[in-house]
Amino acid sequence: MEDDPISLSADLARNIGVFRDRFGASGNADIIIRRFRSGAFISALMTIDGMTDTREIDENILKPCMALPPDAGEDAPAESRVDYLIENVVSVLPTEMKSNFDDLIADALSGQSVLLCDGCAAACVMDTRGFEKRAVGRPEAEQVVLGPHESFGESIRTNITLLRRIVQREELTTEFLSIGGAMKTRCALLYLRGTADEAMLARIRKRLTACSSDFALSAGEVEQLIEDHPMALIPQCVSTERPDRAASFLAEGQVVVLTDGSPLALGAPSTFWHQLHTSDDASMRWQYGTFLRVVRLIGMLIHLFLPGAYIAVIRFHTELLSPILLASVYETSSRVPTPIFLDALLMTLAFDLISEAGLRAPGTMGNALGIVSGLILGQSAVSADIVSPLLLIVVAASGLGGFCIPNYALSVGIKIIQLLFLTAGALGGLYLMALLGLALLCAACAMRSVGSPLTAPLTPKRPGNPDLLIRFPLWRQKARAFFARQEH
Amino acid sequence: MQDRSIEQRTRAAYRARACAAGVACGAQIFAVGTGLTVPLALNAAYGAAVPALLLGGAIGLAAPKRLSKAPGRAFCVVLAVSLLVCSALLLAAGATLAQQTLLPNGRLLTSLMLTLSFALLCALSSGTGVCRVAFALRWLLPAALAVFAGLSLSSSSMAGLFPLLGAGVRSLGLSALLSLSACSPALMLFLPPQELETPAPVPKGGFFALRVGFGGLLGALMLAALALCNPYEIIQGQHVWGARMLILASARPREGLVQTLLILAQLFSMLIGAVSTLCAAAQALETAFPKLRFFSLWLCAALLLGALMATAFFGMDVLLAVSPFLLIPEGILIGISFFKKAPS
Repeated sequence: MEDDPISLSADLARNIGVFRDRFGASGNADIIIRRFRSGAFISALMTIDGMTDTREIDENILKPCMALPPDAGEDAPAESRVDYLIENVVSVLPTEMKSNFDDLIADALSGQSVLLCDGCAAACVMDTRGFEKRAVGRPEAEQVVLGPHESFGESIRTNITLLRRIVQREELTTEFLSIGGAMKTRCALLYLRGTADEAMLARIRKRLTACSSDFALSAGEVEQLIEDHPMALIPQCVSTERPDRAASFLAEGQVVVLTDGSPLALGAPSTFWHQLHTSDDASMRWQYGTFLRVVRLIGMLIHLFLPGAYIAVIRFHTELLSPILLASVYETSSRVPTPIFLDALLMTLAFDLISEAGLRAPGTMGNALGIVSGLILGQSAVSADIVSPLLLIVVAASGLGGFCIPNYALSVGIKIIQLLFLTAGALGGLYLMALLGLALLCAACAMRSVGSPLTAPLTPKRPGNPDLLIRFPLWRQKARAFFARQEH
Repeated sequence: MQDRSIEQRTRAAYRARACAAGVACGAQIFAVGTGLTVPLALNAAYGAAVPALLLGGAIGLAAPKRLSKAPGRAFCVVLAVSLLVCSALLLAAGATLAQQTLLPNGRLLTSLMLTLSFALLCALSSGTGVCRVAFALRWLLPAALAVFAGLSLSSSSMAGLFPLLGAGVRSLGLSALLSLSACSPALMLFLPPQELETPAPVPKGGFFALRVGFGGLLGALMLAALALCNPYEIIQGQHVWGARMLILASARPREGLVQTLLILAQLFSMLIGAVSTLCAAAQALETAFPKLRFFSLWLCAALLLGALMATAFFGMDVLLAVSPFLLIPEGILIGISFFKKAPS
């Protein structure tokens, strides 16, 4: 046992040596191992610089320990010296006893302090985390008119607190998991005990712990571990940066996955309809919420089909246009040097370019960039006969529809599908678009999110609240989601 | 709790499959109607579809009895062949309609191959996806068809509906006999939905019959709309079969749009029918020969390719000529299902 490099030994010097070796402490400036006298024996405290609250360590661990009289703890058996300090001297919560080097190193890396005593083959882990973190701010991607204006941050602890403040139920359970091989990331599974389905919970737990990649640092990477169809274009988990929305996921019976260092919460399993809903829908009266959902759906459909349908009509189904409009289209098209499909493809990509540049440009520059690119470039392109004005209107309307999609991941997926429809419209008109539409619909309807059908409860039929496209009044919403435990 | 969850999933799966069968029946009644019964019964062809509707309902009623027994190999082979013929007919009908209306400058062979490729793409999700699509569109598709057909009828007269017996009682009777086989897609109800992994309680016969009847009724109504809008006498000279499926609109652009949307809705129902019958045929083949598990779909696709190639060279007549003979396996399968005793 003494020579076992996995477990602590009773020799403090050896334990410190192992920690130094594992951290490469001679060249690693961040590792702090502080030896000090605590009464009748020697102790040591290991921390990572910058990750801990030094004031708390000084006030509650080091000062009280070093102030002990020289004979303090003399009578305590050597193997329970750490217990002696915990019971009589140290005033930090929570504390946990561990004797495995790997566990202790993982805890130290997460910002906790490890207290070791000479003669004792166990160490105490104390939560003294105190690293710098962003304050609770406003949501950036999920802004609402009504409803709360706070968002998750990067600290998993703060995020759990934000959720607990909303969901004040004793059934709310938090499970911590470490995922990844070489670089462990802390994840928290939150669910309402008795509401979330056990089988589904076990499935998520298994997928997260079976992660074979070296690291999964963000919520987006964790999402890729949970999802059922890695090749699909539609996201299969719903992500949110809003604690109130994450709380609604919990109430529905979903499992919320929080990742340390990521300001997004993942809700699983989810349905396609979750991607179209926003917090505003619930905050408003049901009529307004329903109206906005319909507007959003129309926006999404315009974004998806309009460019493809335009090309299809111009190339194959000119009988759908009035002769005057058709003459105008042909007149403007005749001045443009590129074929109409290429024209539309380039315009759509240019729109995506502008929106991506606007997103990445710092602060207010993003807005200015959008206006400059949209107005000046668009106007100039039309004046120079590089693009047809009607196509410009089509692409702009389609782009505007794309901004109505509330979920960013879904909007990127829909953008790719839009390009597929554009190509189909150019190659085979409305017929090829219909074939592609059916193929995509079939694929989407067969998809699952952590074992639950993605398009349910619409198809296949499952029991649930009348809250898909039409949001019925709150008093009509009595059931939990179909993926929750059935007695609810 | 577990039981309730299984029951919900089972009912949803059967409901989706019944909706797919209904859509396929409607599409088949319309396709066979325009191909076989309209030339015989003329504007009364919609009336000839009624016996087919009743037979479709009978298949629905027989389904629970059939589903409670393990199907034999011969039964599955006959079922697979019948469903494959239905699938081929619907695919060919859809592709021909598209080529005649939406892509008049395209080649029929291209249209057929394109349709087959996408049907296979849809079938890769093992039939579950297409059945769920049929369920999701169970109100939208009939409503769209009814609305677009109704809008196209604005300039037509009710005169087309008057000859209730069409070309006479004998012609109508013969038409009814020929179109009896149009409810063959409903035979897919004799197989359990693929998404059900464990044996589960089967819903009652009325559950299936209602949905098949509703879907089939849609096909008959489309035939009635055709009679109102586009009497057979006008298109008699046209030897192009796809053009017969058109519910004509006037030359105004608004009606051109309505016409296109109506064609798209017709195509959608035919494609849903074709894909769901193709998946069911592959499933039947797989049940008959479990060793073919991974190849059953591809084998069906190869057979479909042959049928569609024949259509490309000889026109729809080949498939239309074969379709009445579906009545023979249909009768045998229904008979066995109704009268064979369940194993104790």
